[in-house]
Amino acid sequence: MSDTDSGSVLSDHERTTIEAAAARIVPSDEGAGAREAGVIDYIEGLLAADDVDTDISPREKKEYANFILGGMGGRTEEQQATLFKLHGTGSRHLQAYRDGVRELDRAAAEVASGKDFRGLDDEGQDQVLTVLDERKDPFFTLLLTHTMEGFYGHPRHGGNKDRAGWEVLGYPGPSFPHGNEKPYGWYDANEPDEFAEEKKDRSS
Amino acid sequence: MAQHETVDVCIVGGGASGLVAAKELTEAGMTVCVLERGPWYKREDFALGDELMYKRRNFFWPTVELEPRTWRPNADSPSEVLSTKTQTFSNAMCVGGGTIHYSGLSWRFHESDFRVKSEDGPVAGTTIEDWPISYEDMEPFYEKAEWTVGVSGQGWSSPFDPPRKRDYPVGPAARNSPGAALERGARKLGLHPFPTPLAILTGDYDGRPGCIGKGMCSSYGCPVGAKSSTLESMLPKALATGRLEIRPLCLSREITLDRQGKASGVTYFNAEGEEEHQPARLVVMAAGGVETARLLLLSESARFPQGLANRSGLVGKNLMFHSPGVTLVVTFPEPLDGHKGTSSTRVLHDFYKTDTSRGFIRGGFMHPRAHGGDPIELALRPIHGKRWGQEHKDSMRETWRHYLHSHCTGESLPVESNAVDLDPDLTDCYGLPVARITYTSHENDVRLATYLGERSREIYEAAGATRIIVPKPETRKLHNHQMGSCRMGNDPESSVVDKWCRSHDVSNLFIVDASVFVTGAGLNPTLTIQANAFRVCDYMVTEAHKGNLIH
Repeated sequence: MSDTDSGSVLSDHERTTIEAAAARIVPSDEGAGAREAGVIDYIEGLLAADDVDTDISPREKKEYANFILGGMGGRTEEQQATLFKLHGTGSRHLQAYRDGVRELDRAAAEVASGKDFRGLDDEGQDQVLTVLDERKDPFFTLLLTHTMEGFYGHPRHGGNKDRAGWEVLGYPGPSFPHGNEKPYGWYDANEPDEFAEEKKDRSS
Repeated sequence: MAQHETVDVCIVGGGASGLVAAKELTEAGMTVCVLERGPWYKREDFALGDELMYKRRNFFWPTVELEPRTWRPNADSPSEVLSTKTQTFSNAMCVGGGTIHYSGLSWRFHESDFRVKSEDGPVAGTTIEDWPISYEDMEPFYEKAEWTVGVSGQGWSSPFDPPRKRDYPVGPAARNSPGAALERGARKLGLHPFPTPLAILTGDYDGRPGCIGKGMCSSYGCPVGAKSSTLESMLPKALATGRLEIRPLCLSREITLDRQGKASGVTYFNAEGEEEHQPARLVVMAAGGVETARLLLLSESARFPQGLANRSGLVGKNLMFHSPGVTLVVTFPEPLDGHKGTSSTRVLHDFYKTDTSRGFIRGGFMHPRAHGGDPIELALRPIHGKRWGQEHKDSMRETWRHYLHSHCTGESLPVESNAVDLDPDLTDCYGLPVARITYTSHENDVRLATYLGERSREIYEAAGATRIIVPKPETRKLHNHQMGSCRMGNDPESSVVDKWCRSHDVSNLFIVDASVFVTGAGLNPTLTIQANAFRVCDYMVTEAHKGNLIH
């Protein structure tokens, strides 16, 4: 891994290959895709969690989790991030991603001799991913899941930059603390409501 | 081992029933210690609206690596470790338990639910029985639960409901579009939709505010304080007595016995993993249908070689899950915006009563739920044609504002071989044998689930849906309604606790969670769990005043 960036668990090649694959899973069109939403940053953040807990026993991990959870009220951002990773499915996947990138490159060479995955055009990349999808490759399912999480998940975990994924849906994001006013949708506005909405005090 | 000062009551589990008991018993003057294995989150900890952290990570649930459970379909099959996904049949492990993240559906069980055997039995392959108590016994405590917990709804709006004397303390939630869509279809078919009774306030009550329609109810905690979790409705009152100590992050490992064979307290691991002992005059189990049975089985002794309070051999047996439920995905031409509003606002009980011409007994209900703003969940559902790529993205765009989930819940009949016991081969991070679930749905459950799914399809067709996806019942699915594993009854040979939920074998041991349910009804269990806990505590307080319980 001679081209490893400082501070990243992935090499440049691995990073850009995963980014390219994610960009086919949620392609860019008139709206943002995985690339613009920074899905790769979400995935890299998850994989970095492999460093958190490799050397501690399950029991120690539990106690550490308890320690962090016990301090929930005054948790720092950093503690929240650690907790998320510790309790996340991000850990333990780094090797799967490393092997997955190799598999993408191997399959790419079968599509176009001498090319790696990054070197294929969109159609070629789709062809490779379809092969993996159709044979129910566990790495592909993992990548698919993490891409959807990074695209449609809360921006606080590094993906869905500027709520780009939510914008694609027309979803304004979680509505707390402001809440929502009636009507909520077309049907509650237009379908006759037999039950009057009474909120009177019934305590007497 | 650290020894604490003796309290009147040690309660294992600080969830739906444990905190009801904590409030009732402290207000009656008893000193109480609650041991809760999970953390003590506060209202503000639920403010993030973060699908990833709350729903898809282990914020509420323990991790499979540290605290696994296993499952097998029957005793002849090998067991497998439940995955993170399937393990979520467990309720949240935190102060407030499942009431933190439930949708809040708050039913009274119907009169027939307490006498299934005499109405519909016997049924081969099941252990259906009548409860040792009736709806009439429960009615005052249902009312107390509705008014103490804080349930919104419209009394007498369902023609199928059992009799009630008093309305709900606050009116029903504003109808959302999924509810209106159900109503549209149901009315066309001559059915009787009515406002869902919810443990979610719709206006100021008991010092808490009403719902603001933010949509994230199911699987989320409520940062508003409108959801009537026991964290909000019971705990402050119990703490105000000055007689409650609640110990989060403390996992109970054994109920200890004195020389007379009475419960003497609970040994547990504290947050640092060290063992401590809490001596108590009474022990109340409130850890849920799986973990209550597990702790009793873990508490074996020379006096109780099969596990505590298990002379009947029935601890852990007759487990019921309300499975296999069917969840439809339905899309409509106009926007529903299901991420807005309150969890559930319209429901149907038209298919609740037994009609043997359908080929099964008992029934259930259906209701559509606001989806709460869970785009990842939608993205991963197999409804988009393709799982990824442009077609998937376009489908997400078209679906997001236009879809609802519709849930069917049907009664699960008790089967003796459906059980929780101790896994002989796997331990958790504390070194304790994990809960092993043996479970296969009875054929009646599957027919019922299929039926409810098909009726739902007709309703949404009538409502003008553009697309209706009805999955097949998942017979392997477990669920978080855990009931029946320590059933109540009058006969010590065929039940674990008596009608006051007091162990037949250990006179100062009570169980107040859904373990004691004899049958499970076709309805969410929480209000019945809580009404029953109020009823049992009423008995405990009366007996204590007579000097019969605490000496």
